[in-house]
Amino acid sequence: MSLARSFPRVFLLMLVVWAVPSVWAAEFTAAAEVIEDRCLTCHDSDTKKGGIDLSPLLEKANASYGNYTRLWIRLENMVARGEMPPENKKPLAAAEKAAIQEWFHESFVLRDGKSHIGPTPLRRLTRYEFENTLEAVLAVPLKVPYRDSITGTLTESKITALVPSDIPGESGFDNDAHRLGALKPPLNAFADAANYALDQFRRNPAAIKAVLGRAEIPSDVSEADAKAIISKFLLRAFRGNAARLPDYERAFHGLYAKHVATSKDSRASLLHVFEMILVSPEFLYRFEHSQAQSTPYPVNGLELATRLSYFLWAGPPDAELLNLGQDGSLLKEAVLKKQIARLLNSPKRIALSENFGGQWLGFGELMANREYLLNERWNRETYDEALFFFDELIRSNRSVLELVQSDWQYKRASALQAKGHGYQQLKPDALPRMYADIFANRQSKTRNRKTRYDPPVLVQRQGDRDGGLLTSAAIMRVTSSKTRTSPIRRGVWVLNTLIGKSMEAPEDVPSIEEAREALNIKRNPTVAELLKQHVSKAVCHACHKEIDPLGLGLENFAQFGEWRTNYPDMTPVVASGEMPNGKAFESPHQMKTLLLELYGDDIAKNFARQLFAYALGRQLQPYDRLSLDQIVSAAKQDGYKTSTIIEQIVLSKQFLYRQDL
Amino acid sequence: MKQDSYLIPRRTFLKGAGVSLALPFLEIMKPAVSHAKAKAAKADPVRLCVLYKGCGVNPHSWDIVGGTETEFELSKILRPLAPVQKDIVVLGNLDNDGVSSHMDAPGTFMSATKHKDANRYSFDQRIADYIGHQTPIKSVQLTADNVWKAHPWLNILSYDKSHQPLRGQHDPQSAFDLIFKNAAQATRQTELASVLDGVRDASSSLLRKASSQDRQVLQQYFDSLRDVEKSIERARANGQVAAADPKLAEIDPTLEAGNLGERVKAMMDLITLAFWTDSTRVASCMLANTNSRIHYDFMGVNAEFHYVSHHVRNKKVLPAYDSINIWHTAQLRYLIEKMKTLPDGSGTLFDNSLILWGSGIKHGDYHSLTDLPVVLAGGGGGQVELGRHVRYPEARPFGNLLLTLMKLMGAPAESIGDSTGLLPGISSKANFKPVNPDDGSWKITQSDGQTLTAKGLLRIEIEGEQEYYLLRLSDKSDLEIRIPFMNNHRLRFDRNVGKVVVVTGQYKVIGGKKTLVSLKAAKAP
Repeated sequence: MSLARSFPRVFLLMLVVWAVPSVWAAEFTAAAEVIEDRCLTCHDSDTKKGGIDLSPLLEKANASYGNYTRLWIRLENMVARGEMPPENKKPLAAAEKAAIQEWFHESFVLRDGKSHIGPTPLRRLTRYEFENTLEAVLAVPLKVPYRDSITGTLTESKITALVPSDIPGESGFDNDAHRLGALKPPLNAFADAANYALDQFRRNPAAIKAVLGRAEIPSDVSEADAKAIISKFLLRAFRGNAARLPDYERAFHGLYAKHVATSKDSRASLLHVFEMILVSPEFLYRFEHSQAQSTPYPVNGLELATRLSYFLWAGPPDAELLNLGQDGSLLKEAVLKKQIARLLNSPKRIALSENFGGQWLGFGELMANREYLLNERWNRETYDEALFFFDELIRSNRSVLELVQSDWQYKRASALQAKGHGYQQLKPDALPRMYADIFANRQSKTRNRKTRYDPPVLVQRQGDRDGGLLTSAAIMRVTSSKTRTSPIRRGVWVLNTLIGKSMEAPEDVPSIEEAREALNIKRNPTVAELLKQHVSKAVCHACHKEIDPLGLGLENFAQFGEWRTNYPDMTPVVASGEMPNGKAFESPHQMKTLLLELYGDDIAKNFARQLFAYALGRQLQPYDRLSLDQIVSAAKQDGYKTSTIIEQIVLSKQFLYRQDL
Repeated sequence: MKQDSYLIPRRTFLKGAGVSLALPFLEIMKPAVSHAKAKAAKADPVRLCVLYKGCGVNPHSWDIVGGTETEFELSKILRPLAPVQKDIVVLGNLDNDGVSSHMDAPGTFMSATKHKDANRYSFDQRIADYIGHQTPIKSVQLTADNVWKAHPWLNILSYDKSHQPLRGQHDPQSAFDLIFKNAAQATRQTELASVLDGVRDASSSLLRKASSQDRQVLQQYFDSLRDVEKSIERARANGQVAAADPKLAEIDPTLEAGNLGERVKAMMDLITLAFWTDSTRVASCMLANTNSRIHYDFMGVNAEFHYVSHHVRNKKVLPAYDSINIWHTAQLRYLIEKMKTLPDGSGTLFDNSLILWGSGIKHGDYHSLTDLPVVLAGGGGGQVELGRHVRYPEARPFGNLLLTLMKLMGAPAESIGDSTGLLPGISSKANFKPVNPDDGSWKITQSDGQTLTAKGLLRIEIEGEQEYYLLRLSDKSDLEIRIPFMNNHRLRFDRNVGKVVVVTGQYKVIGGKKTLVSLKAAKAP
C-alpha cells in the first residue's frame, strides 16, 4: 500500500487512540456502573438469566463495535423500551437509563462525536435483479409472461430455473450485500442464463434495433465496426459507468479479434463477447468510486441513478435517469424527487411489492415454495390479492397502517362470481390515485370460462371481516400449516414481521406444546384455554401475553384464509382476548383496531426500517438510527404515507453518500 | 428435438413423476457405462451416498434392545430394513458435540463441526476434493425436502473447502440435466470455458484496482471462476458419459417435481444411475430437514413432520411420528435393493458403495446430539462387514465415523471436526462385550415402608398414549415405575431407557406389587 493511501488510516488510528480515553472514559464508567449495579444480579456469568450474560460489557475493550455489538444493542433496546429490569423489580432511574443510552449513542451511533453511515458494501446483483437487468440491457422479455388463463402449472422463467435463488442475509432480504459478498456467485449458471438471454436477443429484430441501433447483428463487419458495437454494448451493460471503460474496450476488442479469427463469423463472435460482458464483474457488481474515506461523502450522479433504480425497480436505470445522473442534475433534490415519482409511476415498480413486500411479509413463498402449492388458481389468486394490495399502498400513496386495516381490498375474481357475494366494486376514481395502474394489462381476454383467469378486483370492504393485508388469505396461509392454524405462529408473525419486535425464546423456556402437561391442563383444552394457562405461568407470560392475543384474534380465519365460526370438530371459534394493555376484544376486527392503537407507530417504523434495509442492501446498524428517526418522524407528519417514506429513504445520507471505512 | 432411435420412446424413460428407473434406460446407458469402466482404474471405485433425514426419532422406537452384534432384532423404525438386514450396520452411541438448532443440525452431522457458517468443511466434500478429479462431476447435492426462500440454510448439507454452502438441486429434472446433460454438451462447455477465460483476461486488472473491501468480495467471484473452469476440465478429462454416447444428450425424461415420495424415489434413482455410470462418486440428499413442514399425506399421514417430532408432551402424535420415520428407513431399503440389482466390477454397485443414512439429532423433541441414529450400508468395496448392530460401549465422537468413511473412500485425514481417531468395528467385527450384561446385582437394594432403591435395566412400555417404565431385575421380574410428568421431565428420566440405572423414590403397593410413584434420583451405577 502506498504511503499516501495509508496515511489517513494511520492518522485516524492515532486520533482514536489519543482522543477516546480522555473524552469518553467518564461516560463509559457511568454506564458500566449501572450495568454492574442493576443488571448483573440476574445477568452475570453464573446466573445468566435467560441465557444472557452481561459481564463482558464491563470491559472497556468490549464497549464499541466488535464481538459484543449485538449484546449492547439488545441491552440498549431493553433499557430504552423499559422492558428491563422486569416488572417486579425497581425500574431504572432516569439518570441510570440516560447513562446507558448516552454511552451507547457516543460509542455505537456516533463516531468521534459525529454521525456517519458505516462502510458501504459492494453490491452484487441478486437473481431477481440479474433477470431484470438482462431484460433491460438486451431489451428482451425474460420473465414469465403474464397469463390470463389457467394452464395447470406455476411455471418459472428460464432464468430462475437456471440460476439458484439467493440466500437472505442478516437484513432478512436476499439483496443483502454482506451475504452476497461472502458467497461465490454461481458463474456457470449466470453464464448459461446470459447465453439463453442472448439467444432470445439474437432472434428478436426489435431488440437488436433497440440495443445496437441496427437491423441485425452483422455476420460480416469490419473490425472497426465490430469494436464500435462492442463499446456501445459495454457502456449499456455497465450502466453508463465509463470509469474503466478504456481498459475494458481494449480487452474485449482483443477478445473479439481473437475469436473472429477462428470463427470467421462476426455475429457469433460478437455474441460470444456479449456473453463475457454479461458475466463480467462490472456487470454483476455495482462498483462505485471509492475515496477510501472514513467519513461520508456524496456519490456521483451516475452512482445515485443506479442506486435509485435498483431500489425502486430492482433493475438498471433507463436512459432518462442515466442522462440526469451523467450530467449531475440528479444530485439536485428537486430533480431527484421528480425522478422518484417518475420511477414509481412505472410498471417496473412492481419490484417493490414482488421483491420487497413478498420477502418481508413472506407472501412470496406462495409462488416459490412447494409447501404452499394447492392448485394454480388458488395460488395465483391468493398471491395476487397480496401483490395488488401492496402495490395499491404505493400507487395511491396510502398509509402503511392500512396493512392492518383498510376500507378497501383486492378480492379474487372467483369470489365475485358467486351469487349474492355482496361485494361492491370500487370505481377507478374511488381512491385518490397518485400513480399509474401497473396491472392494467392483466385483464383477461380469454373467453373460456373454465380456464379464464381474472386478476383480483378492488372492492369496498364488506363488514368487519375484510380489509387489511394482515387478514388476507396469503398471510393467513403462510402463518399456518396445511391442516390447522397456529395462533402462536400467527402471533409471532405479527410481532416479529409486522411490528418488528424480535422474539427470541430463551433456551430455558419450554414451548407451549411442551408446557401443556406441566401446566396441568385438562385432556382436551380449547385453544384459548391452553393459551390462557400458558400465560398464567410467569416465565411464559412475558412473551405470550403479547403473542397470544394477536394470534387468537385471528382464529376466525382458517388456514387457507377462509372465514370460519367453528373448528373442524364443530367446537366454536372464540376470537376474543386481551391485549397487553388490558383492553379486550371479541373479533378480529376489534383486535386489529387495538393492534393499531397499541402498535401503530411500531408497525410504521418497522416498515420504514425494513424498506431502508432493503434499499441499502444491509442490516441496519446503530449508526443508521439518526437517519431512520428522521425518516419515521417525517412520515408520521402525514400519517405514514408510502411515498413519504420512500422519498425520505432516498434523501437520507445513507442513500446519497458513501463511506469506505 | 427429433424422434430418437432408442428402444422405447423418450418421455417414457423415467416416466412422469413416478420416475421408475426402467431397465431399458439402463440398457441404453450400457455403452456409456462400459466406456466409463474402461477408463476406470483396475480396482472398482467406491462411491459414497449420504442420506440425511432431520427431526430425529422417538428413541424408544429406534433403539435396538438386547441381542448380539450379529443376532439382533430390528427395532420398530428399523423394521423395513428386515429384508436387507444382512446388508446394513446399525451403529449406536456416536455423539456430536454442542446443542443443535434446526439450522445447525445438518451441517454438524456432515462435518462434526459446531455452528452454522463457521469453518465447516463437510466430510463428503473432503472426499470429493480427493477423488472428484476422477469423475466428470465432482459431487452431487440433492434436496428432496421443500426449499424455503427465506430459510435455505435448512436444506444445506455440504460445505466446500472454503466453507461455502453447497445447495442441493430440488427439481429432479434439473438434477438429471446437471448430471447427465449439462456437462455433456461438449460444444457449450468449450464455449463456456472460453467465455470465462475472456472474462478473466478482461477483468484481471479490476482486482488490483479495487478497494480492499471490494477486493474481498471480488475474490469470491474469481474463486467461482476457477471452480467452474476446473469442473469443465474435469468433465473433459474424464469423458462425460454422454459424450461417449451422444444420443444420451437427447434423452428427455421430463421429470416432474411431484410430492416428497416421488421426489425421493426420483433422487434415489438418479444417485444410483450417477454412481453406476461413474458420473460421480459422491452424492448427498436431504430427505427431510430438521424443521420439515412437509405433510406426509402421500403416505397416509396428514401431519407436519416437525410438528409430530415434538412428541414428549403431545403423545398422540407418536404414531404419526413413527410412521414417518419408518417410511424414511424404507427409502434406504429401496436404494439398497436398487443398487444390488446393478452389476459393477466383480460384484454389484451396492458392493462398491457406502451409504450413510442418519439424522443430526437423536431425540426429536430434546434435539439431543448423543447416540445419533445412524445406519451404514454398502460393502465399500469389501471394506465393510455387514449385517451387524454395533453399539460402542463408551460414546465415541460421531466425527470418528466420518473420519473412517473418509479413509474407506481413499481420502485419509488426521481428523475432522472433533474426531479423535478411527472407529473400530466397521471393517470387521467389533466383538464388544454384550451391552448391559446381567451381573446378578439387579435388585431392590434398600426398602422401608415408603421408599426404595433399586438397580436394573430400564425399559419402557406404552399403553395407549400413556407410557410407563419397567426396571428389569436379575430375578427376571419387573419393577413398575409410574411417575408424574414433571417428575420425569425434571430428571430427564426418559433418557435412561435401555441403560442400567439405580433409582430411588417413593412406592405404593398396587395390585400386590411395589410400584414406584415418584422418583428422587435416577443415576447410572
